[in-house]
Formats: sequence, structure tokens, C-alpha cells
Amino acid sequence: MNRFTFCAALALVILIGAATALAQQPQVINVPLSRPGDPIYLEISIMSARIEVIGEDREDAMFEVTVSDGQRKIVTPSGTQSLKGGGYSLEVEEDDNEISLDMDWRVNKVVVLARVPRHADVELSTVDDGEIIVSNLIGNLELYNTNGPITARNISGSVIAESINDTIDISFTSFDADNASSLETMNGDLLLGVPDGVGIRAYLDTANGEIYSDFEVEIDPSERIVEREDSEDGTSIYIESVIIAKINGGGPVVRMKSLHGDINIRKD
Amino acid sequence: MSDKKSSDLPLGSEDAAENELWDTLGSIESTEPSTALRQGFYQKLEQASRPTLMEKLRALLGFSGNAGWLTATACVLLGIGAGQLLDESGGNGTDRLAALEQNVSMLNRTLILDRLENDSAGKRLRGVMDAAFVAGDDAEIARALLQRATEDRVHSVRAAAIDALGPQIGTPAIGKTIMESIVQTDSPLVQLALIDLVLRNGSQQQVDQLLKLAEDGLLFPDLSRHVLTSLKRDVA
Amino acid sequence: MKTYLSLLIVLVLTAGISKSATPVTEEKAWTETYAVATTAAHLEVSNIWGSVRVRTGKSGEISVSVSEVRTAPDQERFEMSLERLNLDIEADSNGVSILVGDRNERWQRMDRCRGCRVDYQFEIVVPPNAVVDVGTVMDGLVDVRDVEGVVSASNVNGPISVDGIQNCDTISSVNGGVEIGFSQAPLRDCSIETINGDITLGVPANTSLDLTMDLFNGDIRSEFPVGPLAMPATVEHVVEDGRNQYRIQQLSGIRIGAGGPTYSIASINGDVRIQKN
Repeated sequence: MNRFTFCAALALVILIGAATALAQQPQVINVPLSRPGDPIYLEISIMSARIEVIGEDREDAMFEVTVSDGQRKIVTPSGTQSLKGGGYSLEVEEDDNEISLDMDWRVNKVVVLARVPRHADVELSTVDDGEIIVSNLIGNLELYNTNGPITARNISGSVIAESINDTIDISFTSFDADNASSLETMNGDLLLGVPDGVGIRAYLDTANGEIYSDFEVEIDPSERIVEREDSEDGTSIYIESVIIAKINGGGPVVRMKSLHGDINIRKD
Repeated sequence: MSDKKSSDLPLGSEDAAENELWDTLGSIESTEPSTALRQGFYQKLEQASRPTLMEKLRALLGFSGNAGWLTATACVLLGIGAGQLLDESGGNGTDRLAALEQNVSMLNRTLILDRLENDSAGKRLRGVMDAAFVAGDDAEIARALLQRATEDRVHSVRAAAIDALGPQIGTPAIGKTIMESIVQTDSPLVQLALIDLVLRNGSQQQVDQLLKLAEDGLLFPDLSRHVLTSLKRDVA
Repeated sequence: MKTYLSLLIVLVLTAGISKSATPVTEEKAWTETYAVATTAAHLEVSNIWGSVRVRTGKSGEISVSVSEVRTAPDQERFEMSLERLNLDIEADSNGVSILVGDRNERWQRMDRCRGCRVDYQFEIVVPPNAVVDVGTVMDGLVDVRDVEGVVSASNVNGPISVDGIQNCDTISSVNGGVEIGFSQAPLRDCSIETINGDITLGVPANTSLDLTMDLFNGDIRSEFPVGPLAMPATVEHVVEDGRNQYRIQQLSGIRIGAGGPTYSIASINGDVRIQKN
């Protein structure tokens, strides 16, 4: 390679690197609230995203958004090249303490870090190659991740969490007596953290997994297994029943259901 | 027998026949009770002579003798009077209790129905879990539960409502809706709940229908395997 | 006799009714020439049904040839359409503006003449350096050739074909393809957008251009070698009805040659082709 070609190649690499760096720089947005100090409602729905929400003592909401380069390609005489730059559009809207963040349906992977007031009801949703992480919130949470994990720590309130193919791990500091919680997955494990001394009534249902508990539990009398035989045509049914377990005398309801995964209730 | 009496009778009598009688009597052996028995006898005698508790009570209340009869009669009359009074309010007490129970039941019902329609998914879920206990006896709650089972936007709430329907699957309308929903749903979590409901509570006909769906590949693949495994069929 | 009379009355009445419900059609054509004195005369055409074709001719005048076909379901609405659906033409030394319908109440007036339709086919000759802004909505194409001034064109349900031009401002289509051919390398920014149509840009081989793309589906092909174009993300803040809205947008970008004016291309479902003229 001669000197000119080398310099040209180097310049191109630097340009591409600069473009790449620009595409990956996070965008920071501070969103003032219509009613500072009051609880908020936050909704984030992105096809492919790592979404992290942290509750803090604050009276506004801050979003740090990073979007990866898109998958757009261009066919040129020298072959197919990837188009640098995001090629995306993302909107954040606040209306009377209700904040929504969504993106047009392109395949860019997005990383969102949201810092919000601690008192917040939250609905987070992602589908592919994503992750949901929530911490330090007081409120009612709805967390949906089709193909990735869901993790929540230091939650006071209720959680409805759904995944198809990954683990759900939720730790509560306290439970809302007026609401029930539900953790449900097909192929992942369910992990529930309960503070020592706090009572819950757990409905536990796993067809092919094991159930573990750090607590002593009172099991509601019920048939553990549904077993039916029909001698006429030979149909047999063998399926585990739902186990209703009282921990520390019982309390708010937590429903945990997995097809193939284990259920683990740990003492936090 | 001589008429003459002696002051130290029977001993020292001048009648020979009488003396002979006494002598004969003296030769008869007499058994003596044991000292323990004697003590026990005297203890019992002493106890028997003591007034019993009832006797003390009767004495205290003046039930002894004729005055006691008067006292007893007065008590009976008092008792009848008190009973009458209690009966008037206590007959109301039973009604009141029934009314209270009915009120509580209605409040509970209203609370459940209200929760089932709430905007918050957590509250709707709570309503579903509460409704499970009463759906069998309350047609309106069963209907509301079925609506959650078929229309709720949150899959977990739908799945929980399906679980809660339980034995209601035997009701023709509910059973039909459940069976139709199995292939209509696009959520694996909801389909899992429907399948488990049929496996746990369904009729033989419903189970056969489920098996056919699984064998025809009309279920999510994991769930077809779940059905076949639960029905002890070979999984391809 | 009475029976024959009754039958006759019925026949006459029927004929009368069917006559009054007969669709009415009228065709006419004319040509009007307007003198323009400025060096860059303006042409503005806003059509509804029909095509707009623009060619270049001699300086100093704009010649407009119109073919009109007016139809209505009945005479009454035909009369109504004459009032509500006609040409609103304003012309002076700066240029000519032609609008179908009332300039101030266009669509409202149309709604009250249901079933009425007026197809206008425009053939317009403009000075070579004219500035052209033409558009139509249904059942027509927009066809502009060899104009040296800045061209803007729009169509809803038909194609746009612009060739031999030097610069464009806004070219937009909903359901039709867009073809733009340049006689020389463009020198100013332009915005091109479609929903469902393909976009074809034909530029000279020595063109230098920056292109930003906001695309959903569709392929991108270029006969030119392209280089990366760093497009920083932009954050826009709008307050609307008390709602705070923040929009973060970052476009894809490519550079042709050494770069130059920015062409913004936006499409939902169309392919984009960049060809050498």
C-alpha cells in the first residue's frame, strides 16, 4: 500500500470512527413536571432496548438516551455498505405528570436511563435483545420483556412482570395491600425477594420446575396433584395443582407462574 | 327372773340363769373391725354430718324449707321474665346479624366488582384473586371474571382470571368461551392458563378437544408438548 | 281510452324524471397567454383532478392551455359546480397563479357539490428561468421539463416526473413514484419525500451532494461511490397545549463526491436510487 492510499484509508477510518462516536453519544433530556413533588406515571415502549429506571429524591425526570447505529445498508458499485448514523426518531412527552417515551419502529438498539421521582407508577415494555432494570420505586409497576430479563430492586408497591424466555427477579421492601402482584414466564426462573417478617400469600404454579423458599410456609390444604384416569379410552391426566403458600401468616397476594422454570422465594 | 334390779347390771346379777346367759354370750367370738376401717367410718360419718355445697347454697339463698320454695318460685318467674325480654331483642339480634352478614357480603361483592374494573392492573389482579372464592355463587362476578379472562389488556390478569374460573368451566357458556379462546389467543401465557384450566377442571370432552389441538399443532410448540406430557402421550 | 291516457301520463312523467337525473357533461378547451416582465417569473398551479405539464418556451410570457371536462350527476349540481369548481387565476407581471376552486374556501365548497367533478389538463409553457410550484391530487401526473429555476412539485395519487432541472425545493408524493433528473449538479438544498413511492435521483457524474435519509423500509442503491456523513442527533422541544414534547432525531447520511447542498430524503415504503445522468 503506498503512502497516499494509507493516508486516505486512515482518514476514512477516522471519519467513520467520528461518525460512530457521534452516533453513540447519549442524548440527555431533563423533563420538568407539571406538578413537581407529585407522583408520576412513566411509560416506555421500545422494540429493542435496555431500559433502566431509578427512583430518586427529585422533582423532575431525566432521560439519558443512547441509540446504536442502525441496520440500514446501501448498495454501491464497490459493494454493500452500512449506513452510519442512527436513522431514528424518539419522542418524550410530558402531560400533567404523565411521561411517555417511544420510538418509531426501527430496529436500532436503544439504551435508556431514566431518573425519576421515587413515587412513580411505571409501565416498561421491550421485545427483542432488551433488558429491564428498575430500582428504588414506590408505586405500581408493569414490566414486560418478551425475550430478555426483568430485574427490580427495592420496590414498594406491586409488580406485574411478564417474560416469555428469561428470568424475572423482583425484590420488595414492602407490598401494597390493595394490589396483587404477578410474576409470570414460560421458560425462565422466577425469583422473589421478601423482607424478613413480611407476610404474603403466594400462589405458586410451575409445571416442570422446582420450588424453593427461605421461609417456612403454610400450605393451604389442596390436592397437590390433579390425576385422572379414564379407563374407557385410556386418557390420563397428571398435572400439578397451584400451591397456595402463606409466608409469615399471609398477606398481599403474589402470583408466580412458570412453565419450565424454578420458583425461588428468598429472604431479603 | 327376779324383779330385783341391781345397779351394776349386767355384771354381778344374782340370777344364775342370767349369769349363765351372759357367760355364754361372753364366749362368742366377736370380730373387731380394723382400726383403719374404724377411722374411715368415723371420717365418713363426720363428712356426712357436714352440710353439702348445695345445702349451704340453699341455706344461703333461703331455699330451705317453705321459704326456699318461695325463693325458687320467684327465681323461676324472674327467669321467665328475663327470657321474654331477651327474646324480644334477641329475636331482633338474629335478624340484625343476618342483615349485617348480607351487608358485608354485598360490600365485598361491590368491592370485587369495582376492583375488576379498575384502571390499575394490580387492583384488577387483586379483584380477580378475590373473585375466585365467590364466582361459583355469584353469576355477576363470574361474568365479570370471564370478561377479564377474555378482554383484559394485561396477559397476567387474563391468565389469573382464567385460573380463577376453575370449576366454572363446567358451565356451558363459559366452557365454550374458554375452548374457543385457546386457539384465538396470541399470548403464550394466556394459552398456558387456558390449557391448565382444561387439564385441571375440564370435562373429558374438553380434554379430548385440547389433545386434538396439540396433536394438530395448533398450539404454541412448548404448550403442545406440555399438553402431551400432561396427558402422558409421547412427545414427538 | 282512460287506460291509454293513464299510460301516456305515466310515460311522460317517467321521461321527465329520468331526464332530470341524467348526468351532465361539458367539455371545453382554451389557451391564455400572460405577459411576465420579471427575470424569474413564478408559476403556481394547484389542481385537483388531472395532470399538470410544464415545458419551457420563450421569455416574457407564460402560456396556459387548459382542457376542461366538467361532469355532474344532474343539471342542478352542474350549475352548482360552475359556481364552486372553476379556475381561480391571478396573473401579473411577476407570474401566474392558478387554483382549482375558491382560494379561500376550497374544500368546503367542494363538499357541497357531491358527485361533481372537473378534470383540468394543464399544458403550460414558461420562460426557461421560471420558478415553478405545481401540484395535483387525483388522476393525473406532474411533469416538468427543462426548467432552470427552482422547481417544487406535489402529487397525492399519481407520479411526479421532473427532468432537465437545475434545482428543486420540495418534491412530495403520497402514493406515486418520484423521478428527478438534473441537467447540472444541484446547488441548493432540496427536500424529497414519499410515503409509498420509489425515489429516483439522476444527477451528473460530477455531482457533489450530501444526502440525509429518514427511511423505514426499502432499499438504497447508488451508482456513485458514497462516503459516510456524520449526522448529529438533534433535540427539539415543543410546548403544545400545555404538553412538553421532546423529539430526538438522528438521520442516516451519505456523501457523494466532496459533499455539497443537502438533499433530505424521507420515505416509508419506497426504494431510493441515485443514478448517474
